[in-house]
Amino acid sequence: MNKIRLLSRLQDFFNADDKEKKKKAKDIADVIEKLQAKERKINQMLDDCKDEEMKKALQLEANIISAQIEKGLSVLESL
Amino acid sequence: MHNLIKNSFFVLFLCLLLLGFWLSSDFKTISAGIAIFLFGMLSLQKGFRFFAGGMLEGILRSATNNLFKRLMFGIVTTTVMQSSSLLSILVISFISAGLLDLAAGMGVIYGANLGTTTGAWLVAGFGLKVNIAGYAMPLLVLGVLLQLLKQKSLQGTGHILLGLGFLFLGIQYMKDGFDAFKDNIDLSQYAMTGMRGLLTYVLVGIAVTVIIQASGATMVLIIAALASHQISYENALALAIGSNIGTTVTAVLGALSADIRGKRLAGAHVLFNVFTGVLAIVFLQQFVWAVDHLCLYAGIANDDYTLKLAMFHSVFNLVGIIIMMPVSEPMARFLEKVMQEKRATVEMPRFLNASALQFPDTAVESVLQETRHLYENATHIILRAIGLHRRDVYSEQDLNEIVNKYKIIKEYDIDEAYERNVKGLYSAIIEFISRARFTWEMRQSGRLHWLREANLKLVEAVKGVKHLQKNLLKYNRSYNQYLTREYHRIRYQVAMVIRELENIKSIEVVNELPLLSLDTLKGKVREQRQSANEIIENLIREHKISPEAGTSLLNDNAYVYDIQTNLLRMAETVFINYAVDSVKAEKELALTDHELLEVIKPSPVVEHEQN
Repeated sequence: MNKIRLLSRLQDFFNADDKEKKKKAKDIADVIEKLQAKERKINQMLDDCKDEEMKKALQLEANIISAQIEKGLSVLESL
Repeated sequence: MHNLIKNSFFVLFLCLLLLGFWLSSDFKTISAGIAIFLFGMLSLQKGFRFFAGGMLEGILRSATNNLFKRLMFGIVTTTVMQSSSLLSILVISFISAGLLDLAAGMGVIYGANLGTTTGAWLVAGFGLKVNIAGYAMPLLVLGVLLQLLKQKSLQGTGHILLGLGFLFLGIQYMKDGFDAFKDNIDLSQYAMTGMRGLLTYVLVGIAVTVIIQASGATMVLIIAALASHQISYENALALAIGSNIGTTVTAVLGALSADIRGKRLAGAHVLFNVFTGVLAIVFLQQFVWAVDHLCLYAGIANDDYTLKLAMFHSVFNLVGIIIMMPVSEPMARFLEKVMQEKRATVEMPRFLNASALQFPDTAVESVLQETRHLYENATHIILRAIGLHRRDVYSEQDLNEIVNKYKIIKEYDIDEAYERNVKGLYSAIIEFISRARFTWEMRQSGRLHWLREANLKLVEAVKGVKHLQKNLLKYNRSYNQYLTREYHRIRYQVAMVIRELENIKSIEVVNELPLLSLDTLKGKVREQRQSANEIIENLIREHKISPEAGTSLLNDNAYVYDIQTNLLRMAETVFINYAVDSVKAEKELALTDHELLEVIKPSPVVEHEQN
């Protein structure tokens, strides 16, 4: 094994924690992105909805998703 | 009656054996050789069991998608272990757990068949040419020493070494027995030629293998007899064919206690071995010619009949594989058609198989699949009890419309349905888990604990709907529109959770936030309960329903909430794969009970706190 490869392997080894953090942050960001898309879709449905009962249910769903997004963003910040 | 015949045969066999011991001391040596060889095989198997569980399982899991890999897996595993029985158990458990289909399982078994022929090569090429007992002694000593140690892997190695030692010793005894035998009795005088000889010796080969129950041991016996010129080469070939057919009896006997999947696999094994046997009988001359030529190329002397026999054994099995492999699919379909599962009045487990208990990951997968099976049955009962059908609830149609469509709820015998479709399955799952947890204390035990809890939740959900049913039938036809509306809502809420869970089950596959969707569903369920209680209290207060009917409604709402939460908890274990990275990330975003409550009912701003 040449020196450069050996050094890069050592670097990988010592940066394993950092790498893991980055991976976790990326995964959470992906989830937030999916949630935001879902939120947009529900808001659109809310705008089009005429039935009050249905509107209430959709609003609750939108609120939960927005709380999940908020929680995700604070987790991202702490990383 | 069956036992009487079996016992009579055993006594007869025992008498013949004792008579043989009395008449000839050489017969005693040969029999001891066979017994030691069989003991060695058992010890070898026991040793491999120490490692085989996780290791073999892991390899087969990664080899299930490729025909060549499956074949090689069968060949290599059987070559190393010198027995195909552990492999057959593994394959049956994989098929039962739905990880392998029958045609794929057949590939592994074909490979195993070829793998068993390597034993003949080892004995003919090595066992008879050196003083094999000399190797046996150190192996036996080391084996016993290692077995006494505490570490499991060393104990397993000890059993393997002990097994090899006994195999070697058994071969030596058989060889010595036949060598001494020829000085007293010349068996070669019974040699037969032509078709009559071929068929007679095929039958003898079958009979000997059925008695010994191990084709490997029969092959060693044939090779030892051939080496000491007690049988002719021609008759040895017929015996080898017979042993190949006779070994299927072991598979059939093993499959008697297995489920239908095990029986089908045994059926495939029988078809394969009988077909190759018939092929070898019909084209014996051509095979002998091919073996002669192959031996010439391989540098095997023309008069080295033991190695030629090993070559013959491998060649006709290989030809069998080449012919049978392309027809595996139609053969599997044929076996599935001919050997059909008996429709039981009580639903039986589809994925649980005792053989899976030896393989931790497969056992967990089996329980998971069976729990999903139980979930299907449980939701069927729950929906029927509230007067709905799965096909409607799983459709795209508006749920309110569906509930309105089936206004009248028909009586449905939940107890009978529970006995038929839930109890048997649930008991089988619990029994399986108890046996599995008893067997190993591993990571999988934790997973099994949660699966057991999930099953309990499912059963509780079914029991909850039984409590609900009474009032549902009573008030569903009430003239009080408020009451019927509330029971309509109850039906809607139960069906809504089942519909949403079906979606979560499906999105788990495409990785679209299954855990957070479950979170949202939890929020909906809580909110529904809160608003339902408020509505009922208002109805009582405004005298729109009687207090008696109101309290019944409140109780029934509690049952609905229990059914919903039990199903949700079950789904957390059964429908979410926590090993996936994205689900791990979702877990970080999932709301706690307190956070969820805050979203549903935000706490009012208290002024003095602001000051």
